[in-house]
Amino acid sequence: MKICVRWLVIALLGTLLLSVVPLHAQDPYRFTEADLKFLKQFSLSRLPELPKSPGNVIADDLAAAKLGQQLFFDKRLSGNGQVSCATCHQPERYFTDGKALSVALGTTRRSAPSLLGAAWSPWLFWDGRKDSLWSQALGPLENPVEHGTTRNAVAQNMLRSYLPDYEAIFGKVNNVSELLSLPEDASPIGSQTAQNNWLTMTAAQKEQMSQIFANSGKLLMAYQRRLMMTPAPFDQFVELLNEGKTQEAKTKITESQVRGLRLFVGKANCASCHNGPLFTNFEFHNVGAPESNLVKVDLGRYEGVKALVKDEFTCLSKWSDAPKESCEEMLFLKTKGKELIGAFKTPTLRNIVHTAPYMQTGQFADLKQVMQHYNVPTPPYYDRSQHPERPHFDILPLLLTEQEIDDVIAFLGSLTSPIKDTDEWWRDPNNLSTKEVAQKNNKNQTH
Amino acid sequence: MTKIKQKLFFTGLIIVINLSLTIKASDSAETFYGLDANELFDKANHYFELSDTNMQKSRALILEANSLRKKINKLRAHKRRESSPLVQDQLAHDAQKLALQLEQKQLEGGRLRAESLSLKQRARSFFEEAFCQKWKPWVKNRDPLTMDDTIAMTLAHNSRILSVKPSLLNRMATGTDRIKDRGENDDMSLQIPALASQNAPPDLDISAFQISREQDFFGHIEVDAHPEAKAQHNVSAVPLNKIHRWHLLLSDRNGQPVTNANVDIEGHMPGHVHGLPTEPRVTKEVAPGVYQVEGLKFQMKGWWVISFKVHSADKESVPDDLTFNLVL
Repeated sequence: MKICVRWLVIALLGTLLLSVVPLHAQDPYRFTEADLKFLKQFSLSRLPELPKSPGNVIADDLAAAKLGQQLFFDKRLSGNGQVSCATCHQPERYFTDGKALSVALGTTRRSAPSLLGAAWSPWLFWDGRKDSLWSQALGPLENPVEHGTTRNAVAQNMLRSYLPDYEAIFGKVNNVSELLSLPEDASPIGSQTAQNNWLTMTAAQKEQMSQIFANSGKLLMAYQRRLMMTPAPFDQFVELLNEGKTQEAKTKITESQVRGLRLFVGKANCASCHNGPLFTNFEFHNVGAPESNLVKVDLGRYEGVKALVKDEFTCLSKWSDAPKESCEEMLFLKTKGKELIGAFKTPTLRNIVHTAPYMQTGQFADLKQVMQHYNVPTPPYYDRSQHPERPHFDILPLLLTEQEIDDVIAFLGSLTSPIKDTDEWWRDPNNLSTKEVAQKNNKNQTH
Repeated sequence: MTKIKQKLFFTGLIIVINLSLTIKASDSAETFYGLDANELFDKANHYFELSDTNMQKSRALILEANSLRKKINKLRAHKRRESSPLVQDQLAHDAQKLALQLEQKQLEGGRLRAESLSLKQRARSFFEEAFCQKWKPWVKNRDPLTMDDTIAMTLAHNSRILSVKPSLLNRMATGTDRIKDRGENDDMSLQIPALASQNAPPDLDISAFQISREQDFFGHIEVDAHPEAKAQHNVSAVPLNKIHRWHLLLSDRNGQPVTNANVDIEGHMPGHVHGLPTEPRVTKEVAPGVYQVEGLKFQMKGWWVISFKVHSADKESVPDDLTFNLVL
């Protein structure tokens, strides 16, 4: 009888201990079925199909993507013949440029984001001032500090260099020689000369040049929709766990990375905005990253919405292929609310360790600085004379330990997809492959 | 012996519970039975008026109680200043007498208030029934709005502060204080933060039928699903992060459609700073009193409040608010 009681006590204590110590403390790799169901939502395998693009009917056309790829790497699309889209969106850097502010004809106001996953975003640019990838692509072309080219120059380059391919996609272009004889430096925006020259053109000429210009954006969009990622170690880890291959899964990410993953969706609260297969909710938040320009503060989404309403190439514009009633995001655009002030779009965290520096103007040089900011944040900068209201603040201190911060950073390293150096879409079609470019860069560095 | 007693007790308890359930069920069924929409509206208004009368009486009693309390305080203050013990006794006696009256008034006021609320609830259930009869072709779903429950992503950002002055920085709580509050994740080893202030109170009224603040209108909302969406989802389900439509049905207290009203829409999440992610509008009145609301979008699960400001066309009265709580 006594022995029986003793065993009972031991058994009871055992179960008590087991229930008190959480499963993951015994083994961080041990996940429940509910955990896996939750984590699967972050896996690249859950990436939905490319969103429909009613505004651009050629968005999924292969020939359009190929011509778009030519344009993407074409340096003639710049004021000085030295800048292409790939100048700031370099495939070997996950389509970023590694700079805080981008340098092209001048210096940009914000940091160049990665293009991977951009096709899924309803809004483009840090402030979401564009509502489609095709409209977005047109902005940098006419921006004096980026490509610094003009509408006519872009259209004329198309007519001169790509006419047969262009006509195969968009149909015959009338009056080609007349269009080629128009002044190259002409645009409804840009320098005074360009604007004056634009005014000398007939309505029909303006219409034709703007159409070719808008179509260039649509081609660039078709290209960017082909940029795909292969699974990162994190994705492989989740898939293997779901298949029950625990041992193999353990080889994909380290113990520190698993701890970081638990923090990422838990105490560190990262997943409250960085969620889904692209690790972003595509929304706008003010996280209080330091203001880079105290003289002209960045109002973020607040400015973006104002620009959208005036934009020449939205879903609602005559250049869009969409029936107006399908432009729901524009028709019901949020234009009011203090949460817009100083808010920026949540960036994807895929390949994040390779896309430093961070935040909208590259305020943070590395992920440690980013994490330190989230850990003990500074509230948004407020200047009564510049801000319409005191900006609202989207984050609270995390109070993580140094070890926890390191674990989260380690986890972010598991979100790196391999550079697709053999993928035809990840390279200049007329030039070296990304692998060759990287090798060349390495050589230059070692010499 | 004790076992038998226990058994008896539990059987008794079950019978009592069952009885009360049947009474409750038959109660409402009987009262609606055989009444047409107009009669139901009449009954609803009758209960409504009773509820109002009781509420007015209750308020009057509370006011009287308040003035009594002031008198009592005065008497007691007087007593403290008074030097003659005789007068002191008299004052204490008077105060005591008034205190008894005060207690009575408070009790009666409370009782009337409770009765008024239960009558109002009754009136609302009659309104709902009347409304559903009268607007049969338009009321396709009487249930509160939900969100598609196949979505496991319950994450949302946790902001609960409007703005922070630098001096307050180190006095802020952390965003994940409530990490362990979430009972629903018992089967998870991942400790996902609870949504701050996002737990709707358990007794929150999430009915899709509401009476306006000034009690001039009765309204109902439901999702106007696209035909393709209807096949896939429950009709009451709001999609996550997708722009969609609702119908807002508006009637006056007698069930007459409120036509040509101007309706403004506001929405927010309690405990969050942000409003709606879009600016929804009433785009047309598809039938008298049936308003099509377009551009609605909910980017996260949780407790949302949607308020319609109704400016009626025929009156120069102040706009009236119709508010719905949703727990998506």
